Amino acid sequence: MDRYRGFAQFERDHIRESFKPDFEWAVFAEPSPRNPPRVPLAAARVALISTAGAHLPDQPRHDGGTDGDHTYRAIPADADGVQLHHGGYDARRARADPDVVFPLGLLHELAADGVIGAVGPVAYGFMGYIPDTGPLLDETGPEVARALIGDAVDLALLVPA
Amino acid sequence: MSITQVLEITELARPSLACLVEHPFGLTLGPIGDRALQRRVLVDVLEAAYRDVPAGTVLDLGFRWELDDERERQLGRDAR
Repeated sequence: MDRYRGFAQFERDHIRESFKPDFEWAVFAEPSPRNPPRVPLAAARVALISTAGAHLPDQPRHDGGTDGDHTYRAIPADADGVQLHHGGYDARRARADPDVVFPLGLLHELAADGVIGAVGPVAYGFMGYIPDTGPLLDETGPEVARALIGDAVDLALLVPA
Repeated sequence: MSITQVLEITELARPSLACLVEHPFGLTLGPIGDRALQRRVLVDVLEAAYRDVPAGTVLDLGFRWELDDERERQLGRDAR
């Protein structure tokens, strides 16, 4: 009998059959608390967090093995040459137009047009296959949260791939 | 806040605020080269961060994929 609806069940079955027999979704009873921006969008410093497997040429690719990868790559917002590697989606198309999954260029455009105040100085690249969420919740997630606070970010946007 | 492409996964993770954008995996903001749509999705999502809604809300921004059946195929049981 299915435990979950639709894709959640199909994907769980796939991961258990192909990679990790003990895989289970991390399920949260309560939502994360809201923390709305304190400044208008036109004044807000907006940071990008992406799970598209983004990294710079001199940074290691994420590990696409069966155990996944909870690590992240800190990508300066003015860096060129972002690369995309991720086993869970067809990254070849997105390499031709990275903004579809890693919209750093679009954020710069919005800042230039005054729609947002500024782009956060660092974007954070994760890879979305993280079947063991413990290290993400205990280590790298809080690390990135602290970095975003240190970057004086008003609004952090997570973009999946 | 977060964009989500799959409501049933977001209902498990329960982020503080998510915006549903029903585009295929790998094309989150829209088709390759469609700068206008990508920008509209991004602006709508950022503006949604200011809505007065309770924690755990998933806002359906109305973006649907109508170019082909790629999204439908990705989400099916036989996609893998």
